Amino acid sequence: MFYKEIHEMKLRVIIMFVVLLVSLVTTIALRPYAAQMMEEMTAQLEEMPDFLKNLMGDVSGLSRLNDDNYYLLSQWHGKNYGQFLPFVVLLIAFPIFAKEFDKKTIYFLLSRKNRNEVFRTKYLAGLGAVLTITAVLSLLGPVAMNLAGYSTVFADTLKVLLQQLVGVTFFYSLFTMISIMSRDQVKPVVAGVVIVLGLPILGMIDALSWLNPYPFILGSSVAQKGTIDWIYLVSLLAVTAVLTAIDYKVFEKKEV
Amino acid sequence: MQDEAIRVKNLRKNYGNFEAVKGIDLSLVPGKVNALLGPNGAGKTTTLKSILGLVQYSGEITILGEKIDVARERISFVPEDKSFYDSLTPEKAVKMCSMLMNNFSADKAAKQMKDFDLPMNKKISAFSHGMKTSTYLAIAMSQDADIFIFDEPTWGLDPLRRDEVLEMISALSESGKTVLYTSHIIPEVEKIADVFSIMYKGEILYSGEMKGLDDRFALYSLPLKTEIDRNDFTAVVKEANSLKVLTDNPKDIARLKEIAGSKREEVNLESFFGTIVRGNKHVL
Repeated sequence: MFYKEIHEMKLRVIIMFVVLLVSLVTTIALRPYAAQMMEEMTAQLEEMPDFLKNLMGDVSGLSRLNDDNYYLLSQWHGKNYGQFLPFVVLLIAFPIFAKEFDKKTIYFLLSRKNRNEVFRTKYLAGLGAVLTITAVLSLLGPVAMNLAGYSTVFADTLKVLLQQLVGVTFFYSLFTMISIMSRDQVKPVVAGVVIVLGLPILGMIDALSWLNPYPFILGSSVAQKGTIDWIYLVSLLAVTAVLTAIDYKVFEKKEV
Repeated sequence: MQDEAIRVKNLRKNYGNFEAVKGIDLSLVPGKVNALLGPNGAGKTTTLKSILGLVQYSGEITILGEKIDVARERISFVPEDKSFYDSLTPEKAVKMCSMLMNNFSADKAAKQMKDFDLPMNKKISAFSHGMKTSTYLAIAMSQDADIFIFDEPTWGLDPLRRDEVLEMISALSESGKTVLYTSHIIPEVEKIADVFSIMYKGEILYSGEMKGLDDRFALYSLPLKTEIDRNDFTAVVKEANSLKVLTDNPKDIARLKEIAGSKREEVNLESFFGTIVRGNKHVL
């Protein structure tokens, strides 16, 4: 059954991989201009009125962009790559179950295989693809930087990678649930986009800031303090485990 | 061999407030073509879905004496909607099925697809409805299953291919396989079924053998004003100018024969089905 799942997601995985690879090359190509741009921006910031400075928030990180490791963490993991990770997960996860219901091919599958096996294979195939893309593109960051002649270490990338892997697994279990509950392929995409955009908006409310997993996935704590946010990581893992159990129960009871 | 290939007891299935299946009992005779006949919306597909565990239901269903999760790999199913993975070519579909199912013969499927004149390297998405149905049937019939379940298998096929498929279904039972076959096309059922059940509005109205139907039952056309007790007969239908009365009781047959103006009509599956459904009364 893995053959079928891999065959179905092959094209999507390749396209996403190529797009993100282009983004990585662009990020590294812009490295020489970053420091120059930041110096100019810092000068401009000093001349800004106070209310505009307040709107910009903490800009102390700008001056650190001269550091190759910080540049990689902030511009690749924290921006060009990291912020698209939930969309990568959505593109992999939404059709896994919904396409079978939408195209009515689920009859072929469920009349020949037990639900437990179908769920296990589909869930793991999709999760495997998501984790592979995340790990490969995350590790390619420092590899590409070093190949381009910059001096970067892997230690921080590995810390961010751990957070990214947990973060994408959380999003995957959430999008899988929507995929199982849908009978067409439009609703899971719309719902997924609403979730990806909605969580940061909810997170703007102080009391609900924990609902926004973006700072965790983008590796904010690693970039700012050099440490993994263990409390958030364990909490997110627990939520993911609960969501996965619910995914299975919903699929087990789903009528086709 | 089991006495019953599939045994359904007191099966009920509701969709909201709508009772799709109303506590039916059904037994499939092993090694025979068992047809489930009924008009659209009778509950045939829901019954099949319940047997295959595709919907939640109440009642008891056993397949070869086991629950569906144990017996699933001994069944080959062709659903009403014969949608297959249309990004595949038949060649890739055969490869995928070989990896997916332990009881699948790739050689048999490839041969069957060639017999159906299917282009092996063209994507299924570019196929006509009939070609898609043929692809599905070729795959399903290449499984070494004990029970084959077909839901309206010939819908959308041209007459030549339809006859070919009906022959293939008959051949399955000749080789000892059990077939459950649903259709609302009466001549098809008459052609291949050994045993049939008539389903209407969620109930089984009749179950019996196809052979000897005309010997077991008598259908009489009576003058419209004839006074009879409907409960004495298998089914009674009031038509524009006559009463149609169906019965298998020899005493009632003799009584009907004596009524002035009565006329005996041929009992074939079409007249039997029409009278039973329009009479809409339990006979079992």
